[in-house]
Amino acid sequence: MSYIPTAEERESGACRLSYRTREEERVGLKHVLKPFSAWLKAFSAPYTVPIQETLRQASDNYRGWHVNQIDACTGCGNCADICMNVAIDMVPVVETTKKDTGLRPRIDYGRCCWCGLCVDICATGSLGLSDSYVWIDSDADSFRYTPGQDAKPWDESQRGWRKQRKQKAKEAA
Amino acid sequence: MEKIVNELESRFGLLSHREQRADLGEVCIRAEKTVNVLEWLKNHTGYVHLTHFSVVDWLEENEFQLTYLVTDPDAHHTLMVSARIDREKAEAESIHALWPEAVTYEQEFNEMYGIAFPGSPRQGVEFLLEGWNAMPPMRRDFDTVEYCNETYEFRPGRVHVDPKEVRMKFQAEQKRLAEEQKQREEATANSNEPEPQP
Amino acid sequence: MTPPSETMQASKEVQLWVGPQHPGIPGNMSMQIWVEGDTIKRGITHVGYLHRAFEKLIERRNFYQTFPLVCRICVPEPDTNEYLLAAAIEELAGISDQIPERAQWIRTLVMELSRLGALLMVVGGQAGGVGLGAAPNWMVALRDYVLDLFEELTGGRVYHMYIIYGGVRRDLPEGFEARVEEVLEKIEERLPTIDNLIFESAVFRKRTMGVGVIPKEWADQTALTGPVVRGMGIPRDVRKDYPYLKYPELDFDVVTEDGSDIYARALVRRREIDQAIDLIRQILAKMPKDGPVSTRTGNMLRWQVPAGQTYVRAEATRGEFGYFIVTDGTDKIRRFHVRGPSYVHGVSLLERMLPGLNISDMYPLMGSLQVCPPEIER
Repeated sequence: MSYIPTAEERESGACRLSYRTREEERVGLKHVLKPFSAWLKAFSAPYTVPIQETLRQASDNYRGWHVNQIDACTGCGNCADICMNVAIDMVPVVETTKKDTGLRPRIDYGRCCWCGLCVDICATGSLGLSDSYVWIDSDADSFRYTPGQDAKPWDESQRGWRKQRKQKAKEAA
Repeated sequence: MEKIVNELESRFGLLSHREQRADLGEVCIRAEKTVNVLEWLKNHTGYVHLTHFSVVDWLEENEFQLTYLVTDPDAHHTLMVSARIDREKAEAESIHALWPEAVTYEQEFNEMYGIAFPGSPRQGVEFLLEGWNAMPPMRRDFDTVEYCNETYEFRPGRVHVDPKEVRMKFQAEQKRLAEEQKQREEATANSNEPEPQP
Repeated sequence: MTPPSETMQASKEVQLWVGPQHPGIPGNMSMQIWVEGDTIKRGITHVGYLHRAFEKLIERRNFYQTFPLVCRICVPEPDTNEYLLAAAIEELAGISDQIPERAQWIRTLVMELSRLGALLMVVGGQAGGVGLGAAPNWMVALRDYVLDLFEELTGGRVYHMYIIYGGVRRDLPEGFEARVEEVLEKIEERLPTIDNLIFESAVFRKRTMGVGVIPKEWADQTALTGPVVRGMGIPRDVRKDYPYLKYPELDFDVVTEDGSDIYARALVRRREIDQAIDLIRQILAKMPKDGPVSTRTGNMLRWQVPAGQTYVRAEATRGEFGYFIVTDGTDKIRRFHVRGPSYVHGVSLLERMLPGLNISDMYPLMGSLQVCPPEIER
């Protein structure tokens, strides 16, 4: 059984043999007319959404652009360690103290894949993903920013992917 | 699984065998016997499907492990048949006469690992990579970071500061300041010390 | 001096390159075919446009860093990949029996929803390969509603990154079951018209019945799985043969059709849409109402899994999807190898079926084999 089909297989037309009966393959007038029942759907509401008027709001859990609370973040660097695409750099933003290294994460959207691992591992829960998903800019270098430090329109968003407090807290409540 | 293992042991001799799950078992054989074992399994038992064929690179032991997964579709059991070949002289017998789809696997492993399957059609024909000029990339000694640094350019401006270093520096600085403070206090205490009584 | 028949052959055959950007090719791959007039004499599949080197990337990442990568291996059905990785590593780490009940039910629900979304797109795609226009558009719109459900549940529409080691990442949102039921009703309301457009249409029937027939002996000679083998009347389904997740507790039959041509395979997929809708309703009815959705695994940065080797499989819409994973006791995977069903269907089976086929039959055939280039070349 060689890889290229043999001459017999080619001639016998392994593609031409059929397991169907003539009856099953019959095509009649009803098969020409039945598709026209789709015209009845011309009067139903369309599926599409007019995007000029309303930008579609993302879900509550959506993984959009990053937000960070600069005061709550302690610069531990967990997010930079877990990021599987090396998208996060820690850069100095505030002064170093005993509990705070003074560094804050800077995200590079050329590499980020929005998996949310940085949010899940955040030691203080300050890092989050908002529900905003539109960002248009002509300067390519602006897509590398420090959330919370560089002000963005989605900084106040309360929705999006945030770190969940442990199950125990939920069950205790 | 017992039955097939006993038969394989008596006919071909096994290096080891184990059961991973109820529907999955593994047998290890010598590389020379691979085609005999697979041919016997295909033609004389129910293991007719070649579900998968994979290569594992054991760089530390200087060996490649070839694993053939054959399935009995009626008994719902899969057998992993593993054989080890030498990593320097990476050559194995082709099984494309048993299963024609093995040609694709062997083509890919020739390209990705540099293993030769003499007699298999399409050896040396490009499959996934186009114009590749470095060593076979799936080998564990191929360093992707080094290759990327040599071949591609990166957008400048990425600077990472390590939080551990910042903490260590801060602690060292705090320690130095604390010592200076202590020394200053000792100096003041010394100058304020009353003269010893005669 | 070459014999006259060979020179005549050389001037009769034309070599065509049906390139990666082509409306008929289901994905990003090329076919190099030699045609004589209208009939294909032989063909070669060319892949490599989508090679993203997942297997090499994964060898350098620890377990938690791996899991966002795998959903990108097969775009129409990312959840199968996520589940297989989680199942394989859980088996090697020895925690398979610690996964909570509710997590297993949610995983089954997510798998069936992703099957539903992929099947809707593929049945439409098969119609599109024949030239019909309205039905594929409608089916992709219906799939969009399923993607809305996924966005609500997981935070992403296509790449869910939801099934993780130990369970799932988040619980179901409030009122999710009701919204799933709404979407299922919307789909069921549109399906009879779609049947009229596709399966009762003279164009589709004439072009697909008796075309692209696979001889029944090939099912065991080559490792065919999925609708390709169920369209021959052979009832093989990974969910029944090698049960996983909560499928043993669900009530369904394996869908088969006789005929082994493009029409039979399209009909198998269409009936599997009905099966998926029914299974989703069963899952929502049988799921426990509350409970934990994940269990503890190791530290996200430092988890080490004992050395081992395993192969796990699941039923994707295309056939048997499998992962062959080898670990060596460190915090990284030693070997990660994807067994995509299209690896066999799209390369060796397709090339065997091309001789004797009309050029315009090649696209419905590729659609019916559901050749998906991302999983051929990972």
